[in-house]
Amino acid sequence: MDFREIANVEYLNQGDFACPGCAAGLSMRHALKVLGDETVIVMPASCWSIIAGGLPTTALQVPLMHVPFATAAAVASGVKNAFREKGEPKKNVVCWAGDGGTFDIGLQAISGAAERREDIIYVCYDNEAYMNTGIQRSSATPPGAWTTTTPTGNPLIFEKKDMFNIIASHNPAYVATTTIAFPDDFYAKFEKAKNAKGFRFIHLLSSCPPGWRIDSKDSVSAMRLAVETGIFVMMEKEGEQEIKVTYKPEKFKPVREYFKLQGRYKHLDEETINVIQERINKRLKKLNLL
Amino acid sequence: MQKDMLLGSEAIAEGVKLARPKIIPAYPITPQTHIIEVLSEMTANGELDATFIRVESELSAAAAAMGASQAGVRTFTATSSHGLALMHEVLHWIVGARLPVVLVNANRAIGSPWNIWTDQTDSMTQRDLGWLQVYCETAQEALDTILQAFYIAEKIQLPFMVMIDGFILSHTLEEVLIPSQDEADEFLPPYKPEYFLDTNNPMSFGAAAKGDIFYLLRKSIEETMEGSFDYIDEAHKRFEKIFKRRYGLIDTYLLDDAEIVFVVAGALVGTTKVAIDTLRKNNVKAGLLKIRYFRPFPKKEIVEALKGDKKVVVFNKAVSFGSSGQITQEIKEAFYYEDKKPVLYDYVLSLGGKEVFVENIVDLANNLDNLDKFKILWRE
Amino acid sequence: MESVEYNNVISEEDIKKFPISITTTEVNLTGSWRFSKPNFEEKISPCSVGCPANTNIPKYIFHLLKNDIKTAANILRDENPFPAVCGRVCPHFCQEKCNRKEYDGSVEIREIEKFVGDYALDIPYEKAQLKTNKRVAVIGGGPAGLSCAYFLAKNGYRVTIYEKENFLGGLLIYGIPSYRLPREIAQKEINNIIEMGNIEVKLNETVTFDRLQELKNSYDAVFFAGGLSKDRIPDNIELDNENVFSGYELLKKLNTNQSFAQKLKGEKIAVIGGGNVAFDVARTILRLGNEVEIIYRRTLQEAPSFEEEKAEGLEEGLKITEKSVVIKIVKAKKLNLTLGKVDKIVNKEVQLTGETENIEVDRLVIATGQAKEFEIEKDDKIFLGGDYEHGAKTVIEAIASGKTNAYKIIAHLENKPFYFMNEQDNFLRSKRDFDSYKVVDFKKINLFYFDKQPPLKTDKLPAKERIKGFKEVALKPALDKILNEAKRCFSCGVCNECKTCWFFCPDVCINVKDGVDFDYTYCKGCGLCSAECPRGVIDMVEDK
Repeated sequence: MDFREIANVEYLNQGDFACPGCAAGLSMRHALKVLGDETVIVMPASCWSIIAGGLPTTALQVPLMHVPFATAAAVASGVKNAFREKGEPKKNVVCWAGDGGTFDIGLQAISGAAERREDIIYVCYDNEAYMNTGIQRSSATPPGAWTTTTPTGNPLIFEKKDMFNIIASHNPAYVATTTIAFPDDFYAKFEKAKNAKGFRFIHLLSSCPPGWRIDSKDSVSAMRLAVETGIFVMMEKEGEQEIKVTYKPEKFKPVREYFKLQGRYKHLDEETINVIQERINKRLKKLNLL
Repeated sequence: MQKDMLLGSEAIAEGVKLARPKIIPAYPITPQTHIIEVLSEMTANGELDATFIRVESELSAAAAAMGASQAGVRTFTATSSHGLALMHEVLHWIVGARLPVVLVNANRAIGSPWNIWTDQTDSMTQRDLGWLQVYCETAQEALDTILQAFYIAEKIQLPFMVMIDGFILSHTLEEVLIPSQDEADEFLPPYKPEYFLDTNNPMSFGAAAKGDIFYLLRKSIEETMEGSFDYIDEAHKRFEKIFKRRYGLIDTYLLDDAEIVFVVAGALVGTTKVAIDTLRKNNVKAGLLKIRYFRPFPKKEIVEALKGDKKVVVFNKAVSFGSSGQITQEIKEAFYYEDKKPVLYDYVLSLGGKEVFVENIVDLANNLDNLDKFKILWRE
Repeated sequence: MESVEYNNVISEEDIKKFPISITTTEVNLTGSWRFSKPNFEEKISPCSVGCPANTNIPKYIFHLLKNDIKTAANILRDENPFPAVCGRVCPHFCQEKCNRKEYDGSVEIREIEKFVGDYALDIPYEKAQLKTNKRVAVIGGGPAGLSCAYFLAKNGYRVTIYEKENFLGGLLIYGIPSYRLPREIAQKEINNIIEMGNIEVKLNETVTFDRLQELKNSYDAVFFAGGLSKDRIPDNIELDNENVFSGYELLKKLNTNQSFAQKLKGEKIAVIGGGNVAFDVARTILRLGNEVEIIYRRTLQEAPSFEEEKAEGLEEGLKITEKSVVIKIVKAKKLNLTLGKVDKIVNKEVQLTGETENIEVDRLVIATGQAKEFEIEKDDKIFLGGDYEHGAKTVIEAIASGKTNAYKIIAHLENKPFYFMNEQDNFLRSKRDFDSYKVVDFKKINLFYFDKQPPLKTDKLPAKERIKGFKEVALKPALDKILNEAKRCFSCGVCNECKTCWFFCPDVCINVKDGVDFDYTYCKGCGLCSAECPRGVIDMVEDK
């Protein structure tokens, strides 16, 4: 991707409260570049509730509505229908939620909105735990990962909730997984989401330097490694079409390389890593990637 | 204006239709269902130009209402009992965001055990939210109150909860005067909020606030509540002028010379009035104070109405366990600095729809002196 | 509460009523969170260390890709006045050092240089200003001398070039055959230098040892780059310039005497030697319709000629007799040569196997090297350069020698110490267009941004066509291919405004325009710009 071709216009103000190297801030910056100024953001409790700045300030140059944790998709339904009633049906109404607000507490409202074919874009920036409250496990936390509520690592009996397929089974207008570490993929998917009509869902992998125990400078390379090792697969499903994997490396790197970078996995022994690697391989095979 | 025989729920739906809301998110729950069924029908057949959002829970109903209202359109929802309880978190947010959502709550008991019949536990436990609360006696009052609710809520930018007793009011046929749309429009102008989600003038709503700002915002809610009496009064005058029906913060029945006063909120007012008529025939000077506005609580009017040598029986259809009936609490509090206080009896009755008959009230009046005024009184 | 910003949008009263934010988070000076900060620091690309002239290759490629080929040409010519020549005859040491080499093959820098150099042929240099009255004599008008004159003139010195031939350019004109370096290309670059001003040219001036001493007295400094004008001939062979020639002698004769070329046609000619001159001579006479055989004492693989020359020569039909020396010449109607088979060479001593072979040829050319005409001592006024100083080397090394000596002379005349920008690498640039002398190695390259893509394949004239005349062997690739190849450049250590840092800055703190600006008021010091920079231009430095 030629970064020189990306518009210089910014909808993210300086001085936001994101931690250094936070991918959630970075992802918002670029999502808004695609979505543009005819966009309204609905934001449930998440790191972004803080990142966005305290009263009377705001980090965004588009309208933003903070809402209770479990309600983003429902609030957005109300907002979108109201805009339609006002004769402004083209506004992008976008939920911007973390994994807690999506995989866990907000899931019911999302399912409702998806089933009702609400014309909204739901973006989940998934940093794989409750990071704003100080790194507690969510159903997006991968097996093995340390959090403050899984002090010996997230037990292997769990698997990260398959949000993509949960949403896909609602037959949405568009559903995708991506990360800002792959700018082309990220931009293409936001563009598609913007142009589709109906319920659209984008699952972003979003690194968290304090929560993943990584150096802030590595936050993009960590996400990149997640894709290159196949622990995170970038894919999409457009309307009635089949699921499409949008990035396949020449050869998947061993997941060990991804773990090595992150303190949250440092306690893992070889055996555990092998179990996780096996699971990844199984999934990649199922996706015809191995 | 047109006269018709309507169920309470239908009357409410008519009132909502006349108010021309744009968004109605709702989730069914007995005994609120008739209201939203009629509203669905109205939006489906084009009688009401609004979007009905069939949300998947009351939490989402409140949330969608919050979103729609923040987007700047008139928004209505209705619920009951567990539904209202599930909305609780968002009901707070709607207040904090200063959104004039109007909600009808069909009063119903909350489990466990299951019970679908009426009491006021659901709304009484939401009294501290910052929503205005009105308890309606009749279907006509409910219809009229909805128009007033939108008018007042939009003036003061606080949400408004209109209570009707489940079944007793919602499922009962009544003769109702239905205003014409022109009259309704004359009373209730279109909603034009000053601040809303506007891409031409982007702002953020509800960002994290430090204590100093948060405190001021909360203080402002209270100030608005206190100042709302003027707007309510103005609304009532305006309403009377157009519709020739008079409403107040409270209502009274044979109160002036009464020695025994029953304080009642909701549809029980009707039964109590019949009991008062019976007592009067037996030369017992009984009277009634109807609490219409519970929030804001009209202390001044109530003190004025109950002052003098009166014995006051407060009917509570809810209880704050370990304390007393909520209405009793409020009245006691209103009299704290008055020199002359009435004798108050804190009566809890009709939880979970336990029926109250005229003779129960008559018996109560006749036995008053035997009752313990220091305890919550329960029916035998 | 910062209520003042709300004016005109939301009333004083309403601020206390509605939880609305309309002012920006810019009140939070997040730069105060920082422990380290990004620092823009352009460095040295390994290719430019490999290049004897230390050309800023990434920088000119950047301007080429920006469609500013004029600037590209000027950057190239800042360090090397012969880009079009070098684009053809330089062995491109730069490509050997290219970081892309171990990834998917070095960038074909030569083709890019040739393209830019050719473009620059018609762009005259800015007129040189005279900044001092000091005068420098340059002896020898070959690439080293011309290069020295160029850098001196550019820096305001008056230069006189003494050339013994009646033309400038030395080997560029008479040494390298035109199928490798078309004469008009070399001539144009020479003209461009001379037309710059400050340079006086004296042709047909042979500078002997004695003459040199005179010049030393009448100039402030003398640069001697007289080359290796004496042929080094094996002891058992005598030149007669009729049947037995030295390589350069023959090339010169062919260049100046058309009828002589005609006379040669159809003959069988042997060339002794394995260097570029041997191959140049052999391939030249091959083109005149002769049968040519190269006789070399070692194997072809060991021959010091450029690999490309050998390969092309073989394609064109050169016959090579390896591991052989001429041990006897009998001059009859033709030349009868006795070749002895070489067993091994120990300390330059040839040991024969005893095996012999006789061949008959019409003429013999000796191209076994050149030597100095006379010895000159370096002193405070005499500077030595080019082949004379370092022995027979490449054109680019001659250019680099001329350049280095020009700056040595300037330092000397200005009474300043001369130093390389980096002593270890003898690194010298006319412009200090980098921030620090750190060579960016392969590990510093963020490979995510570079898809594997093989280097440009250059086309050549088919061998059959080539031997019909002196058309340039290397064909010019199409513009899009050149640009595509230019895009392969990692631009190691040199910012090409790719905006990757800008893209990955979560704090909206980077502005890319003529370099990179950081807004330290808000930069939280995360280091993503540094980690993601594809070419190692941004470093994190401690910041208190």
